[in-house]
Amino acid sequence: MNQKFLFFDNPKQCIYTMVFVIMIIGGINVFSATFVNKASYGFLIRYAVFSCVGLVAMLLAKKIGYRKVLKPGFLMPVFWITMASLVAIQLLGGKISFIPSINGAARWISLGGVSLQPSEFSKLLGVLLCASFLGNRMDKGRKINLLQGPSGRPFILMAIQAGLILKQPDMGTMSIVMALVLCMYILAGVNTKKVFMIPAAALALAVLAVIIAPYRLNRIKTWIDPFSDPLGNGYQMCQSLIAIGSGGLTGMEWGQGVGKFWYLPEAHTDFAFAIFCQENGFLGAVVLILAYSILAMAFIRVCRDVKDSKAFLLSYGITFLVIGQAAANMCMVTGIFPVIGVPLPFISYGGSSMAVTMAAIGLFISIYNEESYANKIDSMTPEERRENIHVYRGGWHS
Amino acid sequence: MRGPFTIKDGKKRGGFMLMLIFMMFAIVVLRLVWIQFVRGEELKARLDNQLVSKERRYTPRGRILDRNGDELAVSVICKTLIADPKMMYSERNPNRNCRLEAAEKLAPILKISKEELLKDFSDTERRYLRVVRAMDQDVYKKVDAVINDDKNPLPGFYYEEESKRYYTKKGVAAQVLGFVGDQDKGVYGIEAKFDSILRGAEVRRSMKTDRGGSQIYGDGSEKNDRVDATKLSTIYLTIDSKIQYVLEEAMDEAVASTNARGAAAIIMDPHTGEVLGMVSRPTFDPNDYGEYSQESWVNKAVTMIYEPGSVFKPIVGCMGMKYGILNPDRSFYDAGRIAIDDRVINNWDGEGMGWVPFSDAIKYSINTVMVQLGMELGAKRIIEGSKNFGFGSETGIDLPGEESGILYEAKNMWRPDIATMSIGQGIAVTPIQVLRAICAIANGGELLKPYIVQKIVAPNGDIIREGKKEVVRNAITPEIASQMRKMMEAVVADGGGKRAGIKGYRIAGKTGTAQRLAEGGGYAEGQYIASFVGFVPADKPQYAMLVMVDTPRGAFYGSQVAAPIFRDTLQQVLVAKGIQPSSSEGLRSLDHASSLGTAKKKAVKIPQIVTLPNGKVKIPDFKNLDMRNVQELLQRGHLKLKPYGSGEAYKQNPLPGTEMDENSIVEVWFN
Repeated sequence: MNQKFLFFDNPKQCIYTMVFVIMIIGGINVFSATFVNKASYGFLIRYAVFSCVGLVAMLLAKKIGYRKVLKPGFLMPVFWITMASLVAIQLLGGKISFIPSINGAARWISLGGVSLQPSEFSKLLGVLLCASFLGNRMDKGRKINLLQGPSGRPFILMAIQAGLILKQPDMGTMSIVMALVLCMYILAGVNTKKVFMIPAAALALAVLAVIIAPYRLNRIKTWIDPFSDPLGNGYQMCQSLIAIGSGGLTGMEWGQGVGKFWYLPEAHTDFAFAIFCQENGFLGAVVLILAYSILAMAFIRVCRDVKDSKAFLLSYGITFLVIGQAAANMCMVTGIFPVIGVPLPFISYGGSSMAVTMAAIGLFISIYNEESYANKIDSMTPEERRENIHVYRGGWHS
Repeated sequence: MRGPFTIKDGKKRGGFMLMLIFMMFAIVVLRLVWIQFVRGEELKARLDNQLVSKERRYTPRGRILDRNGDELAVSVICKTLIADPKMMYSERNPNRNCRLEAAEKLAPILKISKEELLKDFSDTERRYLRVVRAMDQDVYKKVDAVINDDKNPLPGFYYEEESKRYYTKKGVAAQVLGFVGDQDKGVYGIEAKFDSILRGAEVRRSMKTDRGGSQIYGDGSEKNDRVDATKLSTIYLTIDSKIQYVLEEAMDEAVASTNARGAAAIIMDPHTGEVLGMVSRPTFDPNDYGEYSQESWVNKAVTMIYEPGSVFKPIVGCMGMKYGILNPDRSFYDAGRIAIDDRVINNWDGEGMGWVPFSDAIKYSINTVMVQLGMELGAKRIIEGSKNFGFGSETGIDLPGEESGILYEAKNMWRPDIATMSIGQGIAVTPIQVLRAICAIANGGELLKPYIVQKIVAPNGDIIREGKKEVVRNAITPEIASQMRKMMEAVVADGGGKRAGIKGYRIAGKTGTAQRLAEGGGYAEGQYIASFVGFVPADKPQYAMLVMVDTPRGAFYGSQVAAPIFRDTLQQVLVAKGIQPSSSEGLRSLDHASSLGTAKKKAVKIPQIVTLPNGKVKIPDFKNLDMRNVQELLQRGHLKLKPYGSGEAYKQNPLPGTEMDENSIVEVWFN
């Protein structure tokens, strides 16, 4: 595990490097997408602040270590705080000043100039809950069920949160939360047939929803052909496609991408990738996708060698959280998926998303650290172990 | 599932799912190839299409001026406030309720209720909302201060430029000018008739703009193509705004005092056909045309048809002379009534005058004599003669909506029809037709095409079009015209039109009273149209004028209702234009006349007229001033002159130093 990876000394170095590279790209892109606003540097400065907050979150997570985080004594209070926030948003959204309703959706808790989006925390929370509970059961060799028995608890708990998120309304975050939880169950060995019942049931519900309210059919129509309604439902998608399409091979001159001049809504958040494609063209997009892929490969490299059940579940979960969201966002922006709000990790402007993603990276690094030390011990001769044992005692197991 | 599920099994599943993610990346790349290369050109074109705004705007409309270059209608560029409710939120401060804030701040400035604005601003589906069109400069300044407030700007607003028409003299010549409706389109009057010339030059602007239509910073692709810039021309009317103003005031007074349903009046130069003043009542202010009834937009002077009544008698008289069956001295027997088949026609008072010369038939407006003449002329000649005077066809004046009137066809006329037509009934005419026919008598027989556009000047100074005297035909010989002028002079001097007389001036004219035509055909019971037409001075006419009052309440005879309006108006015009009483020399050139006047005038110190702080006007000493100077002074002080005699002032009432209210009448005696 702690061998050379690509042209890096080890996967950890690769992860740090790729995260840094993607964040730099993100910073430039946020600036380019927002400098037309009156506060021309405001977004860039705040993106930098978010990055620093994210860095702190990462270091903190790494320092605490995943084992402590996965303990129910730590996890459950975090869960209930998040839950309380979501309930508060549901009950008080738009009614009190620190839970504003923006464009008809209440998602944020705004305290002293800092806006928090609890639903972003739910994404990681789902992964952590599942890793903790399901890891335990894997260790004990018990069966994992989605809805029955104690193994169903994390699913039910997260389903409640997802329901609250859907009511905000925030279809995108809800989908991500649920998808991650389901992925965790699949990893933990739930009967896959049963798991696929969930998306099947969701599809059936969707069909029912269309039958009940045929206007939803238009949403689907505009997903398949956004230009059938370029000024209505298809507006955002059309603008996204126009922005991407006008980028060509090498993109427009930097800063000249014009999609952001109010034409493309959410140009600096969910649709940042469209602006990126417009300004950097096909080549730029491929480079960015490659960067995510290299990051993914470094993740996988670590995941493959993990031996502990909880670490196994968590490492894959974090990989899905970061890379899966990236892929989902790109699919949405390019019109493969319908328009649901999914951010592009590190690129989309958003403090909560940045902090959560970076904390996840920190946890992942803590897994790597532990596993690589374990590997080191494994590969030592008995003499070496005796010589070095005092170093490890009280070290990573404390 | 065989055996317990191990981490190894889990990793297999994880690997499979990761493969799915990599496949998604691959699909995204393929999709990008599709979007950026296959559909790239098309999408780029769409981008340019939405980015480059190709606006068609119009430069301000051409101006309309009077004959002396006084502005009647001008255009200025104003800002229109556009709202995009969907953009009304603040990225930095999500707590801010921008819609409510905008409604609260704008409501008092725009004088629109807060609730109404908030309702509009809450409709986020609408991306383009015209909040207020073509704001006045002061309103725009206030609005802009609120919207682009440095500390707290309101998002979701921007401006568009729009041209706004101003009618500087408000309702003066309203129906002649017309007004401008939506999309810079002229409606009614000169605005409509010459819309293609007045309409602003089309400006096609293409520039890269953001969503809100503002030019993208630093973008150098702005193009301002002025297409067809020569279009922006200025129209000079033949209208003299001083005369027009006098006429407007006189008609306001007339309508107010007679409580009439409507009215029309025209002053024309009888030698050229130039319209110097044209008024229609009810009237409106073209700046706020929406506030007035549609009826008020219509120019009755060219669109209203009515029976002329006795005003038509001089025309029939001219026909008689033209066809050689009449001379002014030929005697007719007036029995007070005359029967043609089953139709009996009376004189207005039912009295007969016995044997009278024809000239008396005009002078006293004797119906029985006119009927005898008409029967002698017969259907064919009376219709032909009417057409000869321009009845039954449009005059061709440059105003929209002109009516041609109604004329019998000779073969369809019964004998009683001929009888009634010879006293001006059974024929429908427009005011402009009557006046130009009378002008033919005034100018020695030339039937003119009346015109109201003096010239149209292109921006480069070229005269695109010039209004010229146009003789349609010689309707009668100068001798016949001269004889008819004498008869018409007698009408005012001694006959039925005495009230039109102005002391010291020779005036020719004819009164007319006819029953009003009902909308559904036939006559409107108890409704009359009183008119007077005439010219001054009678021997060398300078001004011809027609007054028509539609359905006056109370007195309804032309002599009672219309003649005094004629007198009051022309008196002021004559004084203002410096036309000396009874001196008919050198009258053709007004400039000449006025320069002669000043040359002859003794050096008299012209006093000041002072408006006091309490709004009263201090009357100066008019002694030794001529009528023109007195008139000018009084106009400056918003007072009215009632002159007696002519020459230099020797007496006045009230005395010098008296303080008077505005619009009071000052009597001045001249010798």
